[in-house]
Amino acid sequence: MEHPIRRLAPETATHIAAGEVIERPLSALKELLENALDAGARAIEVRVEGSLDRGFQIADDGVGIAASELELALERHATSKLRSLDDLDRLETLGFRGEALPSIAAVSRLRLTSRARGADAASYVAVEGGVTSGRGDAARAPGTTVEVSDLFFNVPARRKFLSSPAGEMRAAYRLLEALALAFPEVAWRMVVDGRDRLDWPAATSRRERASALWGARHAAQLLEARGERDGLAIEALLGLPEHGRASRGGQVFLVNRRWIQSPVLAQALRQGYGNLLPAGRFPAAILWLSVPPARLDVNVHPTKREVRFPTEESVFSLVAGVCARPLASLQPPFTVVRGGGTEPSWADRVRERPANQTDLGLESRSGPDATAGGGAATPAPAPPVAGEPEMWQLHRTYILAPVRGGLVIIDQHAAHERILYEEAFARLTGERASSQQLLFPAVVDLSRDQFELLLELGPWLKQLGWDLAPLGPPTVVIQGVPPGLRHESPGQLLQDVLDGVSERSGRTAHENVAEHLARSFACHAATRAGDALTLPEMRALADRLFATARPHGDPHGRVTFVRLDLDELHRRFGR
Amino acid sequence: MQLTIQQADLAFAVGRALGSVSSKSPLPLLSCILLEAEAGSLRITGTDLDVTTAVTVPCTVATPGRVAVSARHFNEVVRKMPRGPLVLSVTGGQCEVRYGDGKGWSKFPIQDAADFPRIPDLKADTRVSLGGDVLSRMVARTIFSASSEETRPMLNGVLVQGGDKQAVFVATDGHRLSKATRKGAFSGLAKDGVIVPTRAFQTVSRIAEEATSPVELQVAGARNQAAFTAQVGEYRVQVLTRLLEGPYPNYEQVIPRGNPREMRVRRSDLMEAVDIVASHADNVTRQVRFSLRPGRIGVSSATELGAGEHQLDAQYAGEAMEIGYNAGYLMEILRSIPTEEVVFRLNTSLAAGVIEPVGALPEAEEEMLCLIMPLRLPDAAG
Repeated sequence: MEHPIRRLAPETATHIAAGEVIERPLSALKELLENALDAGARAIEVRVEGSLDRGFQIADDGVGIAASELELALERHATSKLRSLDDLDRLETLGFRGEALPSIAAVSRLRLTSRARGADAASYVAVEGGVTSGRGDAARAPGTTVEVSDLFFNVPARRKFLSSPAGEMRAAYRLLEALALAFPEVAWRMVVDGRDRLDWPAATSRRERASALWGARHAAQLLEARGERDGLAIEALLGLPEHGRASRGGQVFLVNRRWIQSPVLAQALRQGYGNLLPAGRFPAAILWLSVPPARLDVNVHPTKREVRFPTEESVFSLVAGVCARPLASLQPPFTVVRGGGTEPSWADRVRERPANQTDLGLESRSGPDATAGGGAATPAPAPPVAGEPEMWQLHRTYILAPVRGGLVIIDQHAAHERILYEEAFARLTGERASSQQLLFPAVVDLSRDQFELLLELGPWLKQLGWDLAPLGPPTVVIQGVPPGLRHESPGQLLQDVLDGVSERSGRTAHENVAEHLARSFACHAATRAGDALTLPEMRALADRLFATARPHGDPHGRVTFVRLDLDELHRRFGR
Repeated sequence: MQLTIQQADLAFAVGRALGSVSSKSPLPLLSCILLEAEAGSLRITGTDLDVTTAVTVPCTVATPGRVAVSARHFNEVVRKMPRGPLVLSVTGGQCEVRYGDGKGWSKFPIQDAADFPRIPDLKADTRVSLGGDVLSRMVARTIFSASSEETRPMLNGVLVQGGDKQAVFVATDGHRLSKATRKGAFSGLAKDGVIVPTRAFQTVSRIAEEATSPVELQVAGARNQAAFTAQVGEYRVQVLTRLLEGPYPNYEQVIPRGNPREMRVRRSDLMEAVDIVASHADNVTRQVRFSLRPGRIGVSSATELGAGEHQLDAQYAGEAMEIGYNAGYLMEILRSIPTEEVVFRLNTSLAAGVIEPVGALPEAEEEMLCLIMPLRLPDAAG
């Protein structure tokens, strides 16, 4: 045998395990912050130099580690938080595996300095790639400081797959927000390249903390909800329906102070909002759940971002019920049914058509190959014939435009999306758009990650015609907007566009910024089904659609129009 | 119900009431008008629940009563009937109109008048009256700037403010603003004013133009409703409207007072220039470029549709400046100003510009002013 089975060397095993726990710089930050919290810290300070992977340090005022235990703390499965398997059921701490410190130490240069409460002095130990490189005495008030630099310096393969430093920083802000909400009694500070970026003093209530995070104006509008059943307790701060977002980016779920992702909670929350939110909008809300530790499985995923509830149905019904209560008094801000009841008197008879004739086969006739088509695709039909400029809007969704030899039916939203996408893309890669200046500049409060993304995308947004003046987190003033927008309020649109970009680009923000931004802008700024259009608007839409490079499909590949030939109609009527 | 009425009187009342009937309404009754006959008069009401028009015309009533008929159909037929007395009666579940002294008749299906939306009584605590011509001018000078976007409903109308010295009308959509004032005592109306929806003012304005009496404006104590009442000859016309909820933005704060650059130009020359050049403008942004030079300005536009430039004389002594505008906004503003010349008071190419008439308006007690926000040109600095 060329490849006999061998037991892995301990370093190799540690390396592999480290890859699971510490998959990105953010996970190192998260694990170390959790350690600080588990140590009972009342004040935590994070300092970042350049980017998370280059170096950061976390200092806390927690119980500290005794000098004699410093090196043990760096060994795998060494922890003070758990003694036996039974302890998992009584877990009150965020960490429990004893994996974090050794894993980080294995893939970075790490220095651990600590002074236990009651001890006279502090000591430190330094490790490079898992190998101790120094130890000695140090000066420090009680508490622990962990310095991490050159993350993944010895794992070149991992370095290649790291997301952009700016994207990682945005995620770090989100993490700190979530932890700050989970631990309002802790004072948080974050300094990036010597500049104070976050400074949240210890708060006495959750609402006070929310107010420090998002500004008093926004926080004052949050609705409070609380409830309890069978040992489950929930408290929530709910955003008004009109502050709903285009993504789940505004939701923070904290279970036993643990920041988690949970489709169950997301659905329960959405259910609580009922028809106060239109489809495709997500409530912004913070949920604090406390569940008896014995009934919660936290050991589901290496990053601990998922938990398993023993009785999902009861959690769902409790959350949905509690959230629905304060919302019940709000009126729906929009009418659910639009433009009904105006069908012509013969509409019923049309429906009597035999069932076997329902298939008109329109799509297959026009055969558009959407976006992939390129130059070789079917040519666009001639734009509507001059001298016959009539167009009609059907159910406020489709535009009917007569063309030579037939009829074109245009999906108004998809068509507008295609137009805006191409225009936006052209502006992002070419000449800057003009910008309609506003008489009353709009003041918008963003979430922290939206704000960071806004700073990052600043030059691109300007190319698109946005004139923005960031006042400092979390507020931005909109002084000018891309001309020709309709319906949306500028602030709402800006937030939706930012959410769209962060959702699409995920962790590779820098690669296709123009592409992502153009898509997100087109998707959110486009006229929607249900919007009434005037005749000049319909004509402009059709003209512009057929002037685009690929009129057949929208940026998602959906069809923008179908063509119905006169011959086809003649055949149907037996002419 | 039975009455005798002149065809011209009935046609007027039906036609005006129809103005408030929406063309597509989910409630069949809202496509009807309500006819109410009592002692010597017929009142006809049309409503879309937001704006209500009620017209009272003289007639001889034999039997009082109320009935609702389809607005459009009734109007269509009545206005074609020959002039002279008509006899209108309700018999056997139908509304019958006889004309030409036995020459002909038409019958209309009726709806139960009891289901017709009740038009609330206005408990007015303030009233003020304005000449019909004044009102229609003030509306015409402002209404085009009102917004039609749904996101900020308070901008979907015209702000009407009173006071001891003047009445002020203001409209804005956040891109431009227009303001018209009339000197005089209008203390019946509060200084913080009320916001009248655009659609209501369109209806009111038409009636104000033909009014033979001043138009009286009454505002409900709760500030949620207003009524405009005027006499048109023998007819009494009342438009009731829901008012928009504020707060209206603080517009005084955005009107610049000391803009340093002044440019005077003949209004008709500028309108001609913008009109021609805007044909090449992008049909969404409607962007045209102003190039200000001492003594003249150039108006230009270039898109894939084509390009054009138009030079015209202007009194301008400032330094050279490039500024972009939405041609549509500009034309509406220029059309609203009645004087031969207009003056632009400008600051930077990104700041609000003031456009005003040069010299007094034809009516000495009146003044007007418009604001327009520029389009930042792609090559502009910043």
